[in-house]
Amino acid sequence: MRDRETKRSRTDLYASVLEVLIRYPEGGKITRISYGVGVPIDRLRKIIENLCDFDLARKLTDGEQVYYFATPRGLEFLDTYWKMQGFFEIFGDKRP
Amino acid sequence: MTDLHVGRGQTVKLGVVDGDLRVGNNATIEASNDKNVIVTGGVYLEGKAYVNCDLECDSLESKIFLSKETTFKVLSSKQRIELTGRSVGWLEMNGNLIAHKQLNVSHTVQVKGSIKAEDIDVGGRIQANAVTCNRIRIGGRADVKNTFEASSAEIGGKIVAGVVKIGDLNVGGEAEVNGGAITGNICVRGKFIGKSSLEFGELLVYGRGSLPANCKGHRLSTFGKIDIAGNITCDYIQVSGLVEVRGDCHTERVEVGGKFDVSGSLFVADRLEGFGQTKIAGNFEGKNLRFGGKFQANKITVNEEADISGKAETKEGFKAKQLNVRSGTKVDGALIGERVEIGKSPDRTFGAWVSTLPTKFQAMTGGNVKVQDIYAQYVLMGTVCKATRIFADIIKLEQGCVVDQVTYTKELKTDFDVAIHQPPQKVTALPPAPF
Repeated sequence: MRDRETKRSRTDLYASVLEVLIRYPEGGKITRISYGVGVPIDRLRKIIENLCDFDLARKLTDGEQVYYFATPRGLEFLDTYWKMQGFFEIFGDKRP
Repeated sequence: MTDLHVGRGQTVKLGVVDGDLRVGNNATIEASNDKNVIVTGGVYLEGKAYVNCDLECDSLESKIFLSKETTFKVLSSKQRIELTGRSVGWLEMNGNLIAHKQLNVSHTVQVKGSIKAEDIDVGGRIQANAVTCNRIRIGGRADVKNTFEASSAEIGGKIVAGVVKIGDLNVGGEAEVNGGAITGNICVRGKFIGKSSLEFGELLVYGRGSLPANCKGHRLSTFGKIDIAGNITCDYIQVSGLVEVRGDCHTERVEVGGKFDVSGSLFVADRLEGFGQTKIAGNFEGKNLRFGGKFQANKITVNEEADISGKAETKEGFKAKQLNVRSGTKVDGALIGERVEIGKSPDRTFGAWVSTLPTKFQAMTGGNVKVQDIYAQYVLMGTVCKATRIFADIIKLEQGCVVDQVTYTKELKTDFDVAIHQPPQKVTALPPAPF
């Protein structure tokens, strides 16, 4: 769903997931996150599980519904990720 | 009020629906008057819907229907349930869409005309000719060909828009706009491209930014690189990475932490501060200047105080009311001022910690300044400083100073071990400064 010249790295994917998550402060559902990130649900589940393991995202189960949130550590990661992207722009590197 | 249900895969012609309209998956709606369909209640999409006319409704919502439930075991013997979506909220329209309240689509909205809504929430992607709304939230990407108006826009990944009129814009990865005005805060995580002149509030770009000529804004900050294709007027510019202006720059205040490159002239109403590198092909004019690093300009004019350390290079000269050249600095070009102090303060190029050094050490490391001509009323040169020519009313030279030529009108005081290559001249009037 996106115009991409190069394959996204794992770090890029983590950042994309968190970017979508921060737009759902009331909690994002897996399907919507998958549409937002442009990744199939089965792959997204693994990515989100990793994010939860790293304490970058949090899972909340409300009955049958599962919601995902970005944690403060996740926000910190995003901030650092984009700052590093800024440095790569200055250095002329395209990818971290 | 009578609700209406359009069955799955059906094509129906409608006029006015007094109540709610439920549209089955893959259903198509057309207007009986060939113009528009009006729904007084809400429109509920039960999957993908096609609308071949204008649609006006109170709200439009879609949801995902789950058909397949698979349970399978993983190694840890925990059971996991996978739900597979059968039909997703997807709207394709050939006309215009008006939703008086909420437009909520799970996956994608593709509208060939314009969208007008109070609140838009799209799971994945929105494509429209024009969008007017109060608040918009897109999971992934927004493509708006022409005008995009919103009080607040939150885009997960990327936005490509025509002329914009936005309050706050928050973009996950990339934004490309074709001019307009973004009056509030703009936070672009990766890349921002402006293609036509833009008015902005606060623009924060983490990666790369590109602005056209004649942009106006309140604040511009970057952690990466920003290219400005022509003149720019901005109240506050914060350069944490690299900013290149291919024209003149008018601003209130500048902070340089990286590299600031101006092809034209730089006009700073208040002050320029920084520790990085500033290169101005034209002239610099400002009220106050404090820098430690490298500063290059054709001509520098500071109305109040200039405090420099590192290296300053000018072709026509450097003029300030009060000019303080810190220790270890090298200045190319004439210095002009009322009061000029050379090598009396510690170097600032290493940051704020220098001021914490013991006074003795500061005195030891003081001086060592190399300047060319000085035109001033009062000149004070610290230890071991070098100057080519000094023209001033009162001149004080401390130990170890070396000057080629000294011309004064009132007083010349020298410590021991001062070398003046030509005999000092006391005159009644000093030669005029270069500017």
